[in-house]
Amino acid sequence: MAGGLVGSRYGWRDCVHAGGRCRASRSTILAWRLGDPPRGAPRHSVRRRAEPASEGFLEGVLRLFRTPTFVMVCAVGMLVAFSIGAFNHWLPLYLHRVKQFSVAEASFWFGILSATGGFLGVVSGRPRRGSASRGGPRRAPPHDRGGLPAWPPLPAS
Amino acid sequence: MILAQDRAVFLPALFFAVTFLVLYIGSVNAVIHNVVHPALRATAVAIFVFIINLGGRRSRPPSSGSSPIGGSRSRPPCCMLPVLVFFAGLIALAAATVIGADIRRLGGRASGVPDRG
Repeated sequence: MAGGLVGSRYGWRDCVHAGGRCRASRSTILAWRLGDPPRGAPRHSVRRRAEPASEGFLEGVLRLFRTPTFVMVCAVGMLVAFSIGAFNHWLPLYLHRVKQFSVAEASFWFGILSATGGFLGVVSGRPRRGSASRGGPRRAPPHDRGGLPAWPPLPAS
Repeated sequence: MILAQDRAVFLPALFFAVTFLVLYIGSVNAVIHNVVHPALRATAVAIFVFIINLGGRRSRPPSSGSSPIGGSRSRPPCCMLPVLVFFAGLIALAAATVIGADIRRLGGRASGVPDRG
């Protein structure tokens, strides 16, 4: 929405320049403030770091692709990313051509819907902080309770 | 959303469509973290992000524009959305049936129990 405001008032070049400066600032701040926690351990965990994997990197990657859940989740992510891309790419045209919105109306509603709906989806879909991430007792796996996992990764033991 | 002609119906429907499209991100990340060895979590997420961007986003404009599902002039390509999301849901349901075995296999490997799967 901010990009749309800058673009409509000052032009698309200024919009691109403003976006580039924002990203450069964000990268600088993150590189300055964020350290790199030990691999396999949560950032604030008091437990010791995970034992390193016994095999090499390539074997580990191959083992990832032999994990059915990981392969299926990648397929789901690919389909949904394709859908989100098609949605973002073609929704203004759909609103204009099929739903008879004017160009300005279609752009406005596309911005409003994708910003607010996307924000709500990301925030509400975030895994809940459970006791497992703070070193508490492990809960029953969510698949045993009939749902998808909704907690952060279990700490390395 | 596609069938409704009244703005009061399809604009809220669009809002919930966007919301549910991105709702999966948190669960998918939690699933990935729970089925891979802790030392491979960062690698797994990096590969996942690479794959979905390579297969999903890079191929999106030309292939969705030429899709026979919704590529005609009267039906823009975003009409193919329900079809893709339906198949994504089917695969997610299939993944929900094997995630328990993957978590148990990972736990068995970490504790030294021989892998049965």
